[in-house]
Amino acid sequence: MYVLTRLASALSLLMCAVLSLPGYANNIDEQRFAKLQAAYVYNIVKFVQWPTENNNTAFNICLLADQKTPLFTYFLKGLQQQKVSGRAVQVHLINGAEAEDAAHSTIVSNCQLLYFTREPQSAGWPIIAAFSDQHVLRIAAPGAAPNRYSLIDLVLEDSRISLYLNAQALPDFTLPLSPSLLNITKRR
Amino acid sequence: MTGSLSRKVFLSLLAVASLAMLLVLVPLNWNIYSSHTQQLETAVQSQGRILADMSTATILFDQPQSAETILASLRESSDIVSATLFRLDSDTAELTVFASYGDGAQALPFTPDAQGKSLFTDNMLHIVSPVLIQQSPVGYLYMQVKLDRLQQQITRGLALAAFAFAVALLVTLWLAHRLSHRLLRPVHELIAVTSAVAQTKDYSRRVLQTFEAETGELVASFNAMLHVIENYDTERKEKEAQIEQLNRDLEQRVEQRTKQLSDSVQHLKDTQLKLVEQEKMASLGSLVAGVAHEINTPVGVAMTAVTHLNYLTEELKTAFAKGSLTKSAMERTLADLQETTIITLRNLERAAEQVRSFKMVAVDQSNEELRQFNLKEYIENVVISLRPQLKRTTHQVVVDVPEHLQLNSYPGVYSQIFTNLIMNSLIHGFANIDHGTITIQAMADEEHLQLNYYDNGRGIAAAVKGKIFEPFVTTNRQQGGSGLGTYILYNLVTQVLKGRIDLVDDVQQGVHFAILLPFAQVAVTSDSH
Repeated sequence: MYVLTRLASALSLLMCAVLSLPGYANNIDEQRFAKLQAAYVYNIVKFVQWPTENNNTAFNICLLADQKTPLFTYFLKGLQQQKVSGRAVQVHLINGAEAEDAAHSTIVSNCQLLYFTREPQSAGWPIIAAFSDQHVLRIAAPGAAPNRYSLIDLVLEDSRISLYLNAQALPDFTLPLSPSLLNITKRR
Repeated sequence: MTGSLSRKVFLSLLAVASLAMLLVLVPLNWNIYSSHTQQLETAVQSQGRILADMSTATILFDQPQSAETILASLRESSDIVSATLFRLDSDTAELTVFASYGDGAQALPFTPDAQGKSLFTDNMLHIVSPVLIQQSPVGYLYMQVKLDRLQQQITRGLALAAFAFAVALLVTLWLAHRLSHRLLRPVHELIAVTSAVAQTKDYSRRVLQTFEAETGELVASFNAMLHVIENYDTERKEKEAQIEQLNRDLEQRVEQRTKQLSDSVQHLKDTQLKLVEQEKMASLGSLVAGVAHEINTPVGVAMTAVTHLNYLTEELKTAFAKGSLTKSAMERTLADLQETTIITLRNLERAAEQVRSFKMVAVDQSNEELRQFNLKEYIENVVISLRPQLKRTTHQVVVDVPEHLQLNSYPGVYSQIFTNLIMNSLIHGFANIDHGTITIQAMADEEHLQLNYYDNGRGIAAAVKGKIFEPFVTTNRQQGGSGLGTYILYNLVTQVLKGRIDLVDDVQQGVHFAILLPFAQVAVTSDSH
C-alpha cells in the first residue's frame, strides 16, 4: 500500500512538474506524456469502489490503441505489478484488428478499465459494444475525440490535463465513484 | 434563644437548599460546557474529515482551484476563521500549502498524524484532519475555529444557571422563612406556656392554639403531659399536707416521748443517786457492823477484866474492913489487880486503836475532805477496816506501796476505791477460792501516780468486761449485788480524782485494775520525791 501511495505521489509530482513547464503542450515529449496519462489513469482508479469478490483475480487495464503506441510500454512500466484494491494490475493492449477477435476472448471480457486513445467508431471498433459492461470504467485519452462510450475524458487545457465527466455515460457505470473525483471533474 | 433557633432553622434550610442547587447546577453547567465543547469538536472534526475527503482528488490531480472551491464552502460556518490544505511530499515528508480559506495560510500548531488531532487554546479550536487516499495521507487540512459562540453559549448557560440559582434562592428564602416560622410557632407557644408554668407553678395552663399534623400532636401531647403533671401536683400537694400533718403529730409525739424519757432519765438518775447513796450507807453500815464486831471483843474482855477488877476490889475492901487482910492475900490481890488492869488496858488500847482506825476510814468515807496522808498506812487501815470480812478467809492482801509516799488528796475516795475493789475480789473474784491473793501496788513519777490492783481470782466474764464500769452491771445479782460498785469506782477516779481507771487484760488469772492519777490532783509530798 505504501509503495502504491508513493507511486501515486511520485506520478502526481511528475505530472505537476511536467505540466508546470510553459509551452509544454506543444513541446512535450511523447514518452513523458504517456507516463502522465498512466499516472492519471492509475489515480482515477483509486476513486472507484471496486467489487471485492474477485480479489484473487487480476485487475485488467485494457489499452485500446495502435500497436506502435508508446503508451503501452509506459503503461506496462508504470502500472504492471501495481495493485488496485489488493488485485495485481495487468495491462493489455488491444488494437483495432485484434479487437474483432478479442471480442470473444477472455481478456477482453475481463477488462476492468478501458482506455481509449482514439474515437472507437472512427477507428472502426464495433467491438466497443462488448465493453459496455456496467462495471468497466471507460476513460478517453487526451486527443481522443470525446465519444459516447467514455465516462471520463482527459482533456488538455491550458497546458494542464482536465477531467471531464460524461453525464450520458454515467448511468451505464454502476460502481460508486468518489465525490472527491466528481468534485474535480467538469461536465461535458 | 428562640430567635436563635429560628435563625438556625432558617439558615440550615437555606444552606441545604443552596448546597443542593449548587450540587445540581455546577455538574449541570460543567456537563453543558463539556457537551458543547465536545459537540463543537466533533462537528468541526466531522466537517474537516468531509472536506479532507473531498479534497483528496484535488491534491492527487493537482486541482488547487477545486480545493479553494471546496474550502470556500466553509464560509457557511462563521466560527471557522481559517482553513489551510497542505500537500504531503511522500519523499521528504514536507508539507506545502496547497489551498487556503479565510485568514490566509496558517502554519500547523503541532505535528499531524494519520488520525488527525485537535487542540483547544485560549479562544481557538485547532483541528487537523488527514487527507487520505487508500488509508495513506497525501495531505492535511488544518482549520482554526474561534470559540466565541461556544463561550457565548456557555456564558448564556451560566447566566441562566445564575438566574435559576437566584430565583431558586429567593424561593428558598421565602420557603425557609415561612417554614421556620410555621415550624417554630408551636415551639414558641410551648416555650411561652412552659415559662409561665415554670414561673407560676400553675399546671392548669394549656397551649390553646391548634396546629396541624405533628406539631398539633406535639402540642396535644404537651397539654396531656401538663394534665398529668397537674394531677400529680395536686396529689403531691395533698400528700405533702398529709406528711406535714404527720410530721406535726410525730413532732408532738416525739416531744411527749422526749419529755417522758427526760423524766425517766431524771428519775433514773435520782434512783441511781439514791442507790449509790444507799450503797454507800450500806457500805458504811457494813463498816460500822464490822467495827462494832471488832471492838466488841476487846471491850468485852476489858469489861470482864474490869468486872473481875471490881470483884477483887470489893474482896480487898471486905477483907480490909474485917481486918482479915493478910499480907500475902494483899500481895496476891494486888498481883491480880495489876494483871487485870494490864489486860483491861491492853484490850482498851486495842479497842481504841481500832476505833481510831475505823474512825479515820469511816470519817473519810463520809466526809470527802482534802488532807495529807500516807498512802501505804491509809491503804493498810482500809485493809484493817475490812478485817471482819478477811479474817473469815485465808485470803492475803499484799500492800506494795512505798513507805513514805505522802499524798494531799481525798483519802475517803481512796478508802472507797480500795474497799470496793477488795470487796469485789472477796465476793466475786474469790468465790469458791480458798487462798486468794490481792496485791496493791503504787508507783509515782513526776507526773503521775500509778496504782495497780491485782487479784488472782476467777476474773471477770468476757461478756461483762466491756461494760464493767457501767451502772448496774453485776454477775451476782441473785446474791444481792447492786452492780454499782465499779460504777462508783469509775466515777470516783474520773470525777473526783480526775484520773482514769482501766481493766487491763494482761494477767492469766484474776483481774488487773490500773488507776492513773495526775499529780496535780494527788500533790505528792513523799520524802522519796
